[in-house]
Amino acid sequence: MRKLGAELVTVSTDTEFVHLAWQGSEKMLQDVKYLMGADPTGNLSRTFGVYDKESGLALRGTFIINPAGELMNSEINYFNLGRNVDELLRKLEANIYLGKNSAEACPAQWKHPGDKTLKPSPSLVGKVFEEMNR
Amino acid sequence: MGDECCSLQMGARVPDFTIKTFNPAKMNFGEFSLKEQIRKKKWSVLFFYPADFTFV
Repeated sequence: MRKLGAELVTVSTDTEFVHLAWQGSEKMLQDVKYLMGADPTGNLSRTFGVYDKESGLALRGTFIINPAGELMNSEINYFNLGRNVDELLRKLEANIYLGKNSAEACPAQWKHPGDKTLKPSPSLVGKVFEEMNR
Repeated sequence: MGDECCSLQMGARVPDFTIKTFNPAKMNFGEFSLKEQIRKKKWSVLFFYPADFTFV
């Protein structure tokens, strides 16, 4: 993600001290380079609508914010469903591409920069099929 | 859930925030702030998960 120019921050309601202890003891995390954010008050989790009152924990929410500080993507999974990192990267790449090419849109099944995009305009109305199969 | 749910609209400016961080690459503590990201013109990905010592 850093290659794409984005900063990844993982966030839970644990403190940064617990993050340190976990990262130090869990072998799966020994090579992590991303920042581990602490939200012990749950305030940030509340802002994004992922705070679960019953447990005091954050749901599996993923949010992409552009360089202007605007929310461009959100996905929230319940506790028992993990995420697909490939899908996150796809959406991040799409958002970064669209940030640089604001007249275009990435249609369904768009996977990588270089794949076909659409330029919404009056001539495209009712002609998406023709445009996608040109 | 009430007003706690879904208060942020897509495309809306996220309210400024700063959180404390642990940086495993440097083994130090620091902060992450949205304002700083905007100043550096960088994209941010926030990845929430329930708890340390579990799967993410």
